[in-house]
Amino acid sequence: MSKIKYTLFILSFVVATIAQGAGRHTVSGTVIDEASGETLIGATVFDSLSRKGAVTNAYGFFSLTLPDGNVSLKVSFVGYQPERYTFRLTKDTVLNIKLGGSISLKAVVVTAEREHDLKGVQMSAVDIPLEQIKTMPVLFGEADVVKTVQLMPGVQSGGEGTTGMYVRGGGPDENLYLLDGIPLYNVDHAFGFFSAFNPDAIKNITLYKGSFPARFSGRLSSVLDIYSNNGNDKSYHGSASIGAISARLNVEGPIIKEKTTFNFSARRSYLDIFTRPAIKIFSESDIDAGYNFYDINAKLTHKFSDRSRLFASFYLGNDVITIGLNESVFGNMDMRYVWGNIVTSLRWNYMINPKLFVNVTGSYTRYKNNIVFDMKDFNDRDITLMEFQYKSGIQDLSTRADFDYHPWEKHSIKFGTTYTYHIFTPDVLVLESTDFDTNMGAPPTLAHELNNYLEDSWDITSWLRANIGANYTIFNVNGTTYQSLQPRVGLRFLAGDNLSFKTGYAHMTQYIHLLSNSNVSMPNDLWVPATENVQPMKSDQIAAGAFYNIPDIVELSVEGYYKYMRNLIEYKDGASYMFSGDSWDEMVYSGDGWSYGVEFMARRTVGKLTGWVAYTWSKTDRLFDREGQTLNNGKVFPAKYDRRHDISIVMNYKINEKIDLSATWVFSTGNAMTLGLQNFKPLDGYNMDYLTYLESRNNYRMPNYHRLDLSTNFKRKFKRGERTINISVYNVYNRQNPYMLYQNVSGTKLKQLSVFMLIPSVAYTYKF
Amino acid sequence: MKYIKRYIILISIALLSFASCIKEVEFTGEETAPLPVLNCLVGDGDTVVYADLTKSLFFLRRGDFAPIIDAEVVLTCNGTEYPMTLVGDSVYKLRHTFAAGDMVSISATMPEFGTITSSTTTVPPKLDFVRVYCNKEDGEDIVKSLTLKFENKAPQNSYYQIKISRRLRPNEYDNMSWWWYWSWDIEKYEYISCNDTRILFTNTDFPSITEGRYILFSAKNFQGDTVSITIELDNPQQMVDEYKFFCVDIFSISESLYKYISTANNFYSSHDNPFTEPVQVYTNISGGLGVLGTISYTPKSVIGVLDKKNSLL
Repeated sequence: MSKIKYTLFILSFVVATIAQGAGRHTVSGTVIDEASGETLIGATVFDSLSRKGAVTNAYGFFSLTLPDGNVSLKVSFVGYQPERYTFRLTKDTVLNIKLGGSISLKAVVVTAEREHDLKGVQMSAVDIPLEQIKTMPVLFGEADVVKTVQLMPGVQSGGEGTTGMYVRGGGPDENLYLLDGIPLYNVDHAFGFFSAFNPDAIKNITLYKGSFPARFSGRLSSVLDIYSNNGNDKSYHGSASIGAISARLNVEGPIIKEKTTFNFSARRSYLDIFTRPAIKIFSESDIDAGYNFYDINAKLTHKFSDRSRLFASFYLGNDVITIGLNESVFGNMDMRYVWGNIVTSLRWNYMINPKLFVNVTGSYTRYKNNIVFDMKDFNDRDITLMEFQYKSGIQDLSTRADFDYHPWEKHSIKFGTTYTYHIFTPDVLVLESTDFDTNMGAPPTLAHELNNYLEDSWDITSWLRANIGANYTIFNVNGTTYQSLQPRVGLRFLAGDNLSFKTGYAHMTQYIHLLSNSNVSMPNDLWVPATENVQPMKSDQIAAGAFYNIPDIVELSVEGYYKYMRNLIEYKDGASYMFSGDSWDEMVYSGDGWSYGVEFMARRTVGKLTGWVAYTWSKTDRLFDREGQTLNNGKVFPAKYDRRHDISIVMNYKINEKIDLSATWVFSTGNAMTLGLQNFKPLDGYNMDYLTYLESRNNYRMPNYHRLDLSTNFKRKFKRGERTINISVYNVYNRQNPYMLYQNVSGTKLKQLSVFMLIPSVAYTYKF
Repeated sequence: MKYIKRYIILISIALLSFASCIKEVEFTGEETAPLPVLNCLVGDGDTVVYADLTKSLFFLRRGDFAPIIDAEVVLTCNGTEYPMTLVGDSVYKLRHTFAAGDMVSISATMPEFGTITSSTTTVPPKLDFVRVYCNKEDGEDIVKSLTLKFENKAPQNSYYQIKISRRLRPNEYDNMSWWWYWSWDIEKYEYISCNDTRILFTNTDFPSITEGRYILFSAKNFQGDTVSITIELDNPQQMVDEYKFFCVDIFSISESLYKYISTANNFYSSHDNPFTEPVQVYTNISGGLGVLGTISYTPKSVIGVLDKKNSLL
């Protein structure tokens, strides 16, 4: 009987499929920027007659199945003039659409619906406007992707000026940073004060905070999906920029016109110019020390045909400390400390047929932290007596295949699989000298991860759309295998042209942990796999929200969320962050946590005045009450980054084509910290003066944080290019925000360390 | 590694130096009221017990801890209440003989704070026997390490404290309070082994070794086994001086005392390090702070003599 039922089900499915396909054909293709040939991610292709639409994927591809007959397509993208195509559909049709007339050049107000906005099913996601990143006032005038993301609702920064990101109650290790789809493990330069992303190299940034599509997995709290520029396929362009901290260069253009392009960006800081003399002055010994960071993005794209493209991309970013110690009490020594990432990938896109698009990727990503310490001969600096090396890091080799399949007009299916081979190197010490050669520390830990996903974006009715999917992962490390089926659901209810309601659920699993001091990004931050003692972290998040557009004026949204997290890790009482080594899992406890909050956002993307106002109310707690793993006496305590209020106001006003003004004001509840408020007498005989009573972890709030930054851009066009002078003032009213609180030597006063007071900066950029 | 840390910190400071500022700020919270602090240890065989009752002090104030002298302190042993008498600043005293297995608790009633009470604690039993090996290198007359062996027949949740000292004379304080034992010269102990399984001393069961004065551990790793602990001496050259005698004192201690010493030691070794997590010191005093601990001293402590090689004593 069951076989008959099964056969009937299959038959009805086939009949329905044929019926769906009858009298319908598919319009597919890519949407690109007319001027540069750059593919546009998230452009909308909408048939006004059937009221069906599609959105381009990460490679500009779209597919839209429509009934035969007249078709009136409107293709739109924020900042571009929409294009209209009217024709009679009688067969599958390929359209390669070029959008032009950026509104930054023409005073035309254009709006477009994007997948993450009102009509799309995706919620808890936000597109980060790249132009805004480049014009916003920032620390030392250094345009920064992550610091702009921190201004979005639901995202909190770690500390003054740092790039640490805390999304909806999650820790800094719970964010997945994807550069062209490849994970980047360390996203900081300069101990977290600058991010590793060079804005010149970037095309598109989307932040997902919840309701994650099934194609994403591996972190609990957010996905920052960044795509880099392919390069202009018609002519050579570029820019050069000099700021207070670093200089940048970007060059792009065709190698073979409209076929093969390149894009190259490089950035280097010149902090060492300041730090070298400062260290010379303040150090007791003869020290020659310096610090700098640099990064390089390179990408080659080749178009075999309209259906087939190949991408090769490369990222290298490093921070470097060098120290030379001459004739000190320790003798002569050299130290070189390098930490950073390499990401490289080869990707091939192919449109198999108008309904099926495939993307195949092979990639390698590595984060390393390497200290080389040379003991030199006291009399002859060229002779090395002993070399000491400390290495740690993580490497991933992965292959993945992603498919976009549009079988029927109401379904858009994505599925794919990824295999990743992880190599964790927690701590390796190498000692070499003329007498011995020794390797110490933990051997590399190898792990295998297989990830499969399937998601369907389904137009159930004209007002109800769903994105339903699941991600299934298998993770094997040290003979232990973990599995996780992670269901994802998103629903959108359309209540008119300008109002929608959305809700979503996502279960996430994270198999790797970052051992870190959560406020400052240290180079010895260590990625480690789940172990028998420290299980994979898991979260369940539900979110619901309302989205309302006042056309051509403002987009309004309100979202509420509740997230429950299991197997979170916290350091034990008294555990040290520094050089934890391979015994790291003995220093942490596992427990649970939860976060809930409400996020409001009003955003204006058109007109002379653009920007947003964001407000977040949230509460984040932790509970570590498992047997033998108790923290805070087994009672609930606020998370380190629990903050009740967060406000960001970001405004950009374009006075004319030559001058624009930007302002950012942020306010947040003070950071939580642990402060013992009573000292008391210890038991006699233990040789202690006093003990301190800590009522609870994170029991005290630092003063509230607020700051105003201003900047202005002066642009001038020349025959061969455009010059921009950016003048920024960080912390305009010189607010002394707390970075750290501590007691003075006598213990009778609290002292506050504030960093980055009023800082003016100038940057010069020339675009050609 | 110390130097590397130093340079990293130096570079970080240099990066911040041209943009940072330090100012004194007022504590923005309310000054919290002091809490009563009650510390008391009860030992097997003790005939006198002392309790110490003081007030805690707001963390930004300096000075002595104020004694509480108007309290009614009552020690309860096996259900019988024994009032304690104030004998000096903050110290209350009771003459009573305690034995292993006695169940004790303590309470203090104060006009300012009301009543605070400890949880009930059992006086632990003594250990059966102890052996000590003095380990020397061939041809040398210097003790490099000590190996202690003893049987553990106590329940799994029993806890121990070992203290080792070098002394002029053999054990000379059998009839004195355990309070006198607190003088140690030992500086390093390396590992503990159990049934040929080497357990590093950084094992989480040994959290209180950083001060180098005692070893603190629980029995859960070697229930029912013969325990062998090797303790390396940090500066064995000094053993040839007049301090010829090694005194090894082994205490069974209550869980409350174990937790208190562990956390207090952890606090003390980390509280001035900005790269460590803060530590909450254990208390079993409800309504206040401090500890009621119980302890049982094994009187068969052993004397090590230098002129015997690998001697079993």
